[in-house]
Amino acid sequence: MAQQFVGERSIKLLNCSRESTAAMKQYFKNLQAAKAAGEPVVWTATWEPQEIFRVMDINIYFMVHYAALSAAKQLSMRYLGNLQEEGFSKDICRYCGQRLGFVLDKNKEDAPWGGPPTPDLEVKSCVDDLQDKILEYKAKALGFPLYLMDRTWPTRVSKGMWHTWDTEDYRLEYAMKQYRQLIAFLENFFHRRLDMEKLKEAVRNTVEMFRLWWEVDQLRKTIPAPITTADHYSNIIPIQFFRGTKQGIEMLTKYRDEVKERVDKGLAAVPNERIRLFWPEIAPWFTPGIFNAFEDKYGAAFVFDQYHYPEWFHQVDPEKPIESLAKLYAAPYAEDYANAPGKVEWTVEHARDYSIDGVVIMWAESCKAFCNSLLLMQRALSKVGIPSIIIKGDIVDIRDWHDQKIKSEIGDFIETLDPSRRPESKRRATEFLEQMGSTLR
Amino acid sequence: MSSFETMQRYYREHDIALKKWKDEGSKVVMYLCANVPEEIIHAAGMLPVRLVGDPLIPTTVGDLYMEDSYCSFMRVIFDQILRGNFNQADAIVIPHSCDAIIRGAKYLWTVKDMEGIEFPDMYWVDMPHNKDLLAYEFYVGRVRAFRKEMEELSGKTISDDDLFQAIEVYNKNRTLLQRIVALRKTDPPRISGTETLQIIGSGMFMPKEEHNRLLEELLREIDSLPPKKGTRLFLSGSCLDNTEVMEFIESCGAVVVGDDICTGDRYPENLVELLPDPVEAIASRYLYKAPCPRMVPLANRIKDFSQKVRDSHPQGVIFYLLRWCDSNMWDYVALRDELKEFDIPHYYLDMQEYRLTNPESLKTRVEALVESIEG
Repeated sequence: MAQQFVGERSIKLLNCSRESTAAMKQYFKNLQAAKAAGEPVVWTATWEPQEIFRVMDINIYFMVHYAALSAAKQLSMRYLGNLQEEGFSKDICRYCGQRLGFVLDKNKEDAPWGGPPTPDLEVKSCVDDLQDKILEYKAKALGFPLYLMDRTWPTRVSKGMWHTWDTEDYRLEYAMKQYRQLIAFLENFFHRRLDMEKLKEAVRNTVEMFRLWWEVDQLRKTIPAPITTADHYSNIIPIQFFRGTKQGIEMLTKYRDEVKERVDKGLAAVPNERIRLFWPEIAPWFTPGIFNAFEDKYGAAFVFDQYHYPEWFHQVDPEKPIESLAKLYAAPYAEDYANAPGKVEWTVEHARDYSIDGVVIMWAESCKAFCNSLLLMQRALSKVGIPSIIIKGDIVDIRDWHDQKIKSEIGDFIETLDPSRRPESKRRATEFLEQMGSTLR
Repeated sequence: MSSFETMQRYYREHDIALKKWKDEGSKVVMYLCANVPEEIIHAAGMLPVRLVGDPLIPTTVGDLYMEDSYCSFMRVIFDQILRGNFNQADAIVIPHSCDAIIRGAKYLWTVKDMEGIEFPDMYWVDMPHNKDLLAYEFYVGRVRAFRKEMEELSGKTISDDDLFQAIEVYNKNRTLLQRIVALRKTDPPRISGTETLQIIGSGMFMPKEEHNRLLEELLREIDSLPPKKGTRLFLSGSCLDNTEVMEFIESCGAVVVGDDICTGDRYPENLVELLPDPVEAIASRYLYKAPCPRMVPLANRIKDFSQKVRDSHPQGVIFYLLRWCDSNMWDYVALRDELKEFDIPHYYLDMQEYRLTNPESLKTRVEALVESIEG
C-alpha cells in the first residue's frame, strides 16, 4: 500500500517532552533485555491496574503505545494493509486493529524500535466489545495465553463525575474481586508473590502522579498558555505508562516545574496568542504537527485536549490499595467521561475553564471508544455559544486524513472566532452545567 | 385466519397486543435486544414488547444527535424513541449489550437531559462480557436489581412462584420454537427463513401464553405447509428485526435453512434450568446462552457458529452485516476460517444500511453465489 502523505512532527518547547520520549525508548530497550534474560513480559493496557504488575516485577508493555509509535513512524498503512490481506473489513477500528496488523506482519526487521518482545501473557479487560477479539487473534498468531477481565457500565452518572468520582458500590466490588483474582492468577502463573506493602507504595506513587498532572492542568488555564497540546501529548508517557513508579513522579515533577516556570515568567507558548483552541479527541498520531499548524498565521494555540484525568487522588486511600485501584481503573474513568452524558458536560466545563474560543473535534469514524458523542458535544457547545468544527480524520490511518483540506477548514473556522465572546460563553456554560441533571436511573 | 397468518399479523403490526393491554389498564415494557431477561417483566404482570425499527421510516430527529458512524439498527431505534414512537410504553429497558446499544442508551439520556425530549423512563441491565464465576455473581446481582425495579414499576411484588411460572411459560415457548427451527433444517425444509423470523418474532409482540397456543396449533398443521425449494443457505450476522433482507435472499432461488441471528434461531436456544433460586436460574440462562457477538471469548462463538452450520447442512453461507456492526465485523475472519472444514462457498457483505438500499447489488451477489453452488 503506497504512502501518500507523510505527517508533520510537532514542535516541543519543554526539555521534559524530549526526555519523555527518550525514557520510553529506554523502557522499550529494558523490556527487550528483560525478555532476552528470560524475565516475564506481559502485554496489557493503560486501563488495567499496571501497579500490580510492577510490584510483582513483571515487565509490562502497552500495545496502544506501539500503535501511536507506528503511526508516528508512518508505518500504519502497512500494518492496516496486513489486516485487509487477512480479510478484515477496512471499517474495523483502525487504531485497535493496527496492533493486530503489526502482529501479523511477516517482516518485523524494520519494526519501530525493534518491535515489542512477544509476551508470556496478555491481560486485558473488555473496555469495549472489540478488545478481547483482537486479543484472541493476536494470541492465536503468536501463541501466548490470555487473561481476560471484565468491565461494567454505570447505571447512573452523577453530575460532574470527574470531580466526585462517584460510582456504584457493586461495580467497585466486582472490580476488586477481579483484581484479587488477577493477583492470585499472576502469583500462580509466574511463581512469585505480591507484596501488599509494595502495592500500597505503588498506589501512593500513582496518587502523587495524578496530583502533579492535575497541577499542570491548573497551570494550563493561564492566559497566554504556557504550553500547547504539542508538549502535553509528549508528557502523557509518564502518566500513561509509568504509573506506580518513582520515575513517573520524577518525570511529572519536572514537567510541572517547567510549566510553572513558564507561567511565573509569563512565557507564552504562542507569543502572539489570540485564539484559544480545544482538541477534545485523541490525536492523529501520524501528524502531531497539526497542533502547531495555526500558531504563526492565526495566533491560535491548542491549549487543552483529551488527556485530562479526574481528581481521583483526593478520594483514595493507599492503605486500601485494591479499592484505590478499582476506583481508578474500573469506575467511571473510561466509561463515564469518555461517553455521553459525561463527555458532553466535561467538554463544556473545560471549554469554559480554559477560556476556549473554539473547539476542533476530530471524527475518526471507526473508533467509537474515543470518537463518540461528537454531535452531542457540538450541540451543547452551540447552546453556550462556543463554536466548534468537526473534521473527518483518523488516529492512525492516513486514508482519512486530507491534510490541506483539514488545515483549510480549521483555518477558515479560526477566522470566525472572536475572543471577546469569552465572558458571555463562560456565563452560559455555567448555566448549562447547572441545568444538566446527569443522574441516570 | 390460520395460526401462521395470525402470527404474521402480529409480526407486521407490532402493537396489537400492546394496545389491548394498555386499554385494559395493564403496563407494557418495551425492551431492546435478546439480552433482556423477559421473564422478570412477565413475572411482574407486565407485557414485554420488543423495540423494533421500520425500514420504511427514514431517520430524522436522531440524525441531529447521533453520528453516521453508528450501527444502522441502533440509529433507527434511537430515532424512533426520540420521535415518541414508543411513548405508549410505560418503560423502556436497554441492556448492556453491544457497544452501539450501550452508547445509544447514553445518547438518549443526554438528549433527554439537554433537550427536554420526553420518552418513557429507561431501565438499564448491566451484563458482563465474561462468563466466569465472578461474572456470574455480578450478573445475578444485576438481575436481582432488575427484579426490584420491575416490582417498583409494576407496583407488584414478584414472588419466586411468579418467576417459576414465567420460566415455565418461556421454557415452553422456547421448546416449541426449537421444534419450529428444526423444521427449517430438514431436507427439504418445511419452513423458510422468512417464515422463521415471522414465527419467532411474533412472540415478541404478544403474551407468550398466546404465542404458545398459536405455536401448538401451527405444529399440528405443519404437514400442510409445502416443502421449500431452493439452494440451502446459512445466514450469519447482525440483528434482523424485519424480513426485508431474508425475503430478498430467498427470492433469489435460495432458502435460508439456518442462522445465528439473535432474532432468529438463537432466540429460543437454551432453556432456563430449574435451580432453587429462580433469579440465579434466569441469570444463568442469559449469561450462558448461545453467544451474542459481544460476549467473550470469540472461541465460543466460533464453536457455536460451526455447530449451527453443521446442523443445518447449508450449501453456502452469507455473512450479512449492518453498517458499523463492529463485533460481527471482527468475528468474520474467524468464522470464515471455520468454514474451510465444510468446504462450502460464502459471501461477505458488510456496512449495510438498516433498510435494503441497494437490492439489485445484493440480488446479483446472492444469485452469483447460488449459481456457483448449483453450477
